[in-house]
Amino acid sequence: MEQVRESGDFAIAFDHVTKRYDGKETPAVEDLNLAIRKGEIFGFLGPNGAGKSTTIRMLVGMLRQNSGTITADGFDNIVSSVGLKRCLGYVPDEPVFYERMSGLRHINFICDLYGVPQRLRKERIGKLASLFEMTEVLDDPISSYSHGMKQKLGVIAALVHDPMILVLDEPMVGLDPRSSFILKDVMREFCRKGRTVFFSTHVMEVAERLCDRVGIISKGRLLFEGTLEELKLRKGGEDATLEELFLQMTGQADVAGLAKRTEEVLE
Amino acid sequence: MSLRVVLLLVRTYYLGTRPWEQLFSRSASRGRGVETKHTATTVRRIGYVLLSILLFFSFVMVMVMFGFNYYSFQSIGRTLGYPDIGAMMAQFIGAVIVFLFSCMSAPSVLYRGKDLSLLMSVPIRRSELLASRMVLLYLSMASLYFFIVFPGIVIVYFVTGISVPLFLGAVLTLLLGPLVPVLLGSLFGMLITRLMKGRKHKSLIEVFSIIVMMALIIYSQSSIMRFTDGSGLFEGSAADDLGRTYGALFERLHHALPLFACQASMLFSVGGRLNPYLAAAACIVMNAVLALVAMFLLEASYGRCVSIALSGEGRSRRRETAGATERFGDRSAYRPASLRSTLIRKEWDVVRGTSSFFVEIIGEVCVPIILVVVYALSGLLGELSEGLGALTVSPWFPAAVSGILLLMSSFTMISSTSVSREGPLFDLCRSWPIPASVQVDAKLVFHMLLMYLSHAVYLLVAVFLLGIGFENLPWMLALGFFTILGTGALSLAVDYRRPLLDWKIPQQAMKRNFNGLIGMGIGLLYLAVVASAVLLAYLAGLTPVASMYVGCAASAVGAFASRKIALRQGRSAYLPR
Repeated sequence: MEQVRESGDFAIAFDHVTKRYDGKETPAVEDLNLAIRKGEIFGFLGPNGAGKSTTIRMLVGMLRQNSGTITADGFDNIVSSVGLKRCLGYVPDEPVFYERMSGLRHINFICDLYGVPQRLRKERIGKLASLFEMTEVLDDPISSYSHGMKQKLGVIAALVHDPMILVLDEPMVGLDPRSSFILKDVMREFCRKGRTVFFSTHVMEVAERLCDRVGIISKGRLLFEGTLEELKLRKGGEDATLEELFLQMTGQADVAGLAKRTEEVLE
Repeated sequence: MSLRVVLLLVRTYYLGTRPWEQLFSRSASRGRGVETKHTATTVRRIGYVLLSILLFFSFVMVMVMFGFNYYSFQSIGRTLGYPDIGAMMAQFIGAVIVFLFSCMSAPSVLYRGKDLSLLMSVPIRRSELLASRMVLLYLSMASLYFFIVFPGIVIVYFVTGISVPLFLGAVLTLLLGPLVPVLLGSLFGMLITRLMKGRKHKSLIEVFSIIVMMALIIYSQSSIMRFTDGSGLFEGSAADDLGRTYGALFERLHHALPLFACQASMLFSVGGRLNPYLAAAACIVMNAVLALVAMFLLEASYGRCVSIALSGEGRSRRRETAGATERFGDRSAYRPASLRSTLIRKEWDVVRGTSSFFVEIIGEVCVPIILVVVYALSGLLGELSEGLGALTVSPWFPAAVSGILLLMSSFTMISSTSVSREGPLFDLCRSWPIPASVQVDAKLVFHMLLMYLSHAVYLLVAVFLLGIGFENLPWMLALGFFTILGTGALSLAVDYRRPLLDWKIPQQAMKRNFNGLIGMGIGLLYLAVVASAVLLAYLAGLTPVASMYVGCAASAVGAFASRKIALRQGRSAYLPR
C-alpha cells in the first residue's frame, strides 16, 4: 500500500479508516489502510458481515467514518463529498429506483443530475442500452423489471455520466451469465482507458479472473492486499485457488468438517 | 376445510407482520452526536406517550362527533315516527365506509399479499387460504366499524337505557355489521382484479373511495347542521323543512335497506319498528345467506385471481408512445432539464409511486373543493352566503377568509414527511453529486407548487364568490406565499432532522409519522405569530389593510429565516453519517 501511495498514482485511498455503528461494540471497519491504483480493477473480498458494504458506503459519501480519511480522485469524502460523488459511478448491492419512472426516464434523470449534455446522453444511452440488451424495455416502468434488469439499469446509470471511478457492490448478483460476461468485459474496457474499478464480490471465480489486485477483509480488518500471486506466495500454496486461499485467510478453511456436518444434517 | 389451518394462517400472519408494532413504532434516526443513548430513549418514550395521548383524544373526538350526528338523526327520527333511525344511520355509515375501505384493501389482502407466493406453494386448500385472508380483512375492518358504529350504540343506550336486546344487539351489530360490506368489497376487489388483469389500480380506487367517504361524512354533518341549533336539537321553525326532507328519505331507507332496518331494530327493547329478537334472527339469516353466496363466488375464482395478480405484479400500462428503439431518433426524449426541475419531478414520482402518499396529498389539496361541492349540492352554501351578508361588510372579513384558507393550507404533511416518504431511496439521493441546497429548494418548490397554487386558486374563487374587493388580492396572495413557504420550510427542517426512513408500510411514513403532527403544530403556531403581528399593527393605529401588509412583512421575515433553518438541517442530512 505504501508503494502505491508513494507513487502518488492512486485513485482511491483509505487512510486509517475506522467505522463503528451506534450501539455496536466491535467496529464494522477497523483501521483500514488501502490504496487503489489508477487503471486497476480491485476486488474487495470478504465473508458476509465483514465490512465490505460499509467500506463502499463510506467511499461513496453515504456513511461517515469515525476516524481516518478517504479520498477518491483527490476528493475527500467528507470535505468535498459533492466533487467526490461527481467522479464516481456507483452501483449499490440492492438496486433501488423510483419505480414509477421508466428506465429511460431514470437514466435521463441521472444525466440531468450529472449534467450530461443532450448530444452525449443520447449516444451513451443508446450504446449502453444496446450493450446490456435493455433497449426494448427502456420505456417500461422500472416496477416491471426483474432483479437482473434493475441491476443492469443500475450499471447503465452508473456509466452514463462517464465516471473516473466505478464502484460496484456485489454487481454480479442477479445477472444472467451473458449479462455477467458483458459486465466483466465493460469493467476491463473501463480500466483499459485508465479508469479504476473497485468492486466487492463473493464470487471468487470472478475475482480470480478479473482483478488486478484483491483485498480480503474479515470482521472489519483488512487481512490481505495485493495480487493473487502475492497471496499464493504468502500462504505457500502455488496450486491453491483463490477460493481455498480466501477460506484459509478468513478462518473458514475446514471444508472437510463442513461437508461432514452437511451430510449429517441431511441424513 | 380445516379450521385449524385457517387459524394457523391467521396467527402466523400476525406473528410475521406485527401490525400493532408497526402502528406504534417510531424508529426515527437517532439524534446526531450530542444526545446520549439514555436521553434519546427517554425523549422517544415521551414522544410515544404524547403521540398515544394525541391519537386517543383525536379518536375520541371523532367518535363524539359521530355520536352527535347520530343523536341528531335519532331526535329527528323520533319526531317523524322513525325511532331507530339514529342507530340505522350509524350502521349504514359504518357499512358504507367499511365497504369503501374493503374495496381498497381487498385486492391486496386477498390476492397480492407478499406472503401469497409462499402460501400458494404449500399444501393447503384454496378454501383455507381464502378463509384466512377473509378473516384478516374482516378483523382489520371490524375495528374501523367499531369506531364508527359504537357511538350509535351509545346513543341508543342514552335513549332507551340498558336492556337485554341492547346488549345482545350491540354484540351482534359489532360482530355481524362489518361482514356484508367486507364481503361486497371483496367481490368488488375480485371484479377489479379480473377486469384490470392484475394491473395496479389502487390509487384510483383509493382516491375515489376517500372522496366518497369524506363527502358522505360532510353531507351527513352539514345536513344535520341545517336543522339543528348545534346541540342536536332541531329548531321548531325548521320542522316543516325537516319533515319534507327527511320523512320521505327515512321511509325510503327503511324499505331499501332491510338489513340495516333489522340491525337497528334489534337494539331497541321498546320503540323499535320490529321485535328485537325477530330482527336479530332475520339479521343472522340475511348475513349467513349473503356470506355463503359471496364466499361461493369468491372461492370459485380465487385461484385464478391470485394467479392474475401474481403474474400481473408490477405490470403497468405501457406508455402509448413509441418504444425506446424508435425513440432513439427522437431528440425530445433526451432533452436535458434543469437540476431543480428534474428534482421536483422526482418528488412527484415519489408521491405517485405509492398510492397512500398520493391519496393523502390529493386529499390535503382537494379538501376545500370537496367541502364546497358537498355544501353546494346540499344547498348549505347558498344559506351560508346569505348568512354571511352582514359579515362581508366588516373590514376584517378578507383577513378572516384569508386566515381560514391559510389554516387549511398550513395543515399539511407534504413538507413534514417529505424526507420520510423517500424511505430507502433517501440513501440514493445522498449518493448524488448535488449540493444539499438544491435538493432542499426542490422540496420547497414542490411544496409551494402543491399548496400555494391551490391556495391561490381557492383565494381567487373566494374573492370572486364572496365579493371581496380585488384591492385585497395583493396582500392576500403575498401573505399566502410567505406563510405557506415559512410553514413548509420549518416542517421540512423537522423532517430533515429526524426522518423516518425505515418504514415497513407507507402509512408509517405519512399518517403515522409524528413529524406530520409536528408540522401541523408548526403551521398553527406560525399563523398565530403572523396574526399577532397583524393585531399589534392594528393596535398601533394602522388600518386593517395596512395591518395585513405588516403581517405579510412578518411572514416574509419568518419565511426567510425558516428557509435558512431548512437549509441547515438539509445540509446536515445529506452529509455522510
